[in-house]
Amino acid sequence: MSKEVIQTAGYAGKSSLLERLFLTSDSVGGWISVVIGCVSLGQGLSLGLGSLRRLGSGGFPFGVGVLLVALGALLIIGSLRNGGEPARIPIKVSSFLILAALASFAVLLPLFGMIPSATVLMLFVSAAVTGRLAWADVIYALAISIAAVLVFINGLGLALPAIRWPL
Amino acid sequence: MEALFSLLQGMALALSWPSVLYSVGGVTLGMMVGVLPGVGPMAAIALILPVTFHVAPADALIMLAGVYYGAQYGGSITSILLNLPGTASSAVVCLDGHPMAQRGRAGAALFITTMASFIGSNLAIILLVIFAAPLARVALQFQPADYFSMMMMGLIAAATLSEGSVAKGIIMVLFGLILGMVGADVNTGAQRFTFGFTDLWNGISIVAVAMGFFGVTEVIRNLTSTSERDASIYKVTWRTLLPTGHEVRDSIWPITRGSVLGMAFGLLPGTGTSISSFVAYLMEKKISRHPEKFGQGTIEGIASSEAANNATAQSAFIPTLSLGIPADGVMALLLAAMMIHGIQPGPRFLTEHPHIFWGLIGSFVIGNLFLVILNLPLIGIWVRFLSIPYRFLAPAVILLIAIGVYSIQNSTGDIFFVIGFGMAGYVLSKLGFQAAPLLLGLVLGPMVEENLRRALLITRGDYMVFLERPISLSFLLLTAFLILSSIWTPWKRFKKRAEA
Repeated sequence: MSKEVIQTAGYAGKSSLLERLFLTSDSVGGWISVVIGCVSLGQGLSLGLGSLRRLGSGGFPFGVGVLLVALGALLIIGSLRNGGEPARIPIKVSSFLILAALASFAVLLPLFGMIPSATVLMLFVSAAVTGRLAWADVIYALAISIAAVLVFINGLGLALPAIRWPL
Repeated sequence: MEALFSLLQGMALALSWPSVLYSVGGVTLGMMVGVLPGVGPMAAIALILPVTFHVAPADALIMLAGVYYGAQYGGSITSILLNLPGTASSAVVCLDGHPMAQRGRAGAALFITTMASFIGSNLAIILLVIFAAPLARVALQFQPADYFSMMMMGLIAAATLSEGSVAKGIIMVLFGLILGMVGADVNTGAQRFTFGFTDLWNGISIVAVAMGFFGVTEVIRNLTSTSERDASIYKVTWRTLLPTGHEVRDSIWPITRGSVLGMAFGLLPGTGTSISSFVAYLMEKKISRHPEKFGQGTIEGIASSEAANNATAQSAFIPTLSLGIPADGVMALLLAAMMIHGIQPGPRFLTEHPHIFWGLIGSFVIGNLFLVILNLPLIGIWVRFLSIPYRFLAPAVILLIAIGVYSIQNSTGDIFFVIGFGMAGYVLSKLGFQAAPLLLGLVLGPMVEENLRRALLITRGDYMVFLERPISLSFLLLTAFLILSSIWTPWKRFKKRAEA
């Protein structure tokens, strides 16, 4: 038996029932599948399954829901019996900064136009990568924002103002 | 003969202005994303998809396809010089390519991989020219039941043949089916999965899903795992590019075998380039007279796997263009691009839009020739390209995502969808779920449901139709075979052994 197998088996022996039920990557994935499957089942039932000859709007969602719940249960049962790797989802501040960058763009674009919103987005991402902001990042952000205006608004005809002041 | 004539006509189309510009632009961009680790061909195609809305459909497809096969060439450069796969499919090249670089044979390794890529691609193009049209003619006989079974096979293949657990693959396909159902039901007009949000009435844009799951997820993942890049230690000069006669002789048969294997994999819907390159490498190792040298820098390993992944990338267009069944996630995006341009994918594509079909194939020939020119003489530029700091690359990628998604419907609402999909993609990838099957489910889902309902209407609810029609039955048998064989997966075991 290889070293790796022994280590995994050792882990499975040590982990508690609760860990195997809720904390392995298989069981977390299984639960996500079960929950989404239930939503799909609910949609199917509320829309009407129709008949076998003439499937209603809910027939297909219902079928997909059944499969999702079954496969999710399979993953959870597998994890209960054999254990598995613990689910590890490293979350850093930088991940949120990336999402914040996109959100800021969506909010600022209709208000201030392309250049300000693109600059803010890029500064958020630069900060996420390096953890701080240097002058080079600001100059780079401004340059790329202007390039984006030239390519997307002047070149491809995207209907957006380059810059505006809503007040 | 007729096919050859059509191909020549297609090449003439692809050489006309501005198509040639889009072809060259596409392959150059593909090379670039191939070279850069952390930006895959999938993300790149999702990024430029909105840009191609503004050009003619043929040019759009030529450019998008160019990014895809161009990336297959570029990925090996990073693998050989940095021991970091530029794309997932060139991960195998690291095993022998990097040891060759350490021995001072980086140039020869790059030359052989480029030649293997070129030969693999061109053999697959020949297959495409010969088989695509007859296959499309056969597919015209298909009835809804056959379509349903064929798509089921595509979906199951995507789930079982992708990397990782089969159950997780099928779950991702099902998630994709649900995303595909969002919006009004085409048969009854009932709103499904909209939960009262008017933004969801028109359905979810595949571009938003692809950008979230591939673009945003990739950036977040790169930030949580930092790696150093330094390609400057391996100087590649013109003189070192030339392989020795011995190296050339050793790579001829592996290239041939890799190409044939790669073509077979491309024909199977749902397989993709990473699996074919792995299997080609392992096959070569198995039949080699000196398997112990694999992993220490043998030319056979890199030749065969590079030929295989390029052959797969080209022959994947056969089911995509002649049947309308995407072979992998990238092909699913390409089909989406066709639909956005008002072209219905499927067997009628070839007869209704012959100039687009042959123009696209003609562009493959030109694009591949250009890639060889781009690859070898300009190798110095690509090496320098690797030194672009991520702090400059990431902001530009995220900005392209934001503008690209906004430009689809001129709505900022879609950007919030991308944020949601990006988060979901990151969490799911950390739990061991692959995103490509989801994209296939999203594209094929509406067609699967439509054909199922149509088949049942025609036969008045007789489910036996799926088993009575020979075409449908053979697809269902193949599906069953795929499910059964996924319990015994030789290549997954081989892969573990290769990685060990």
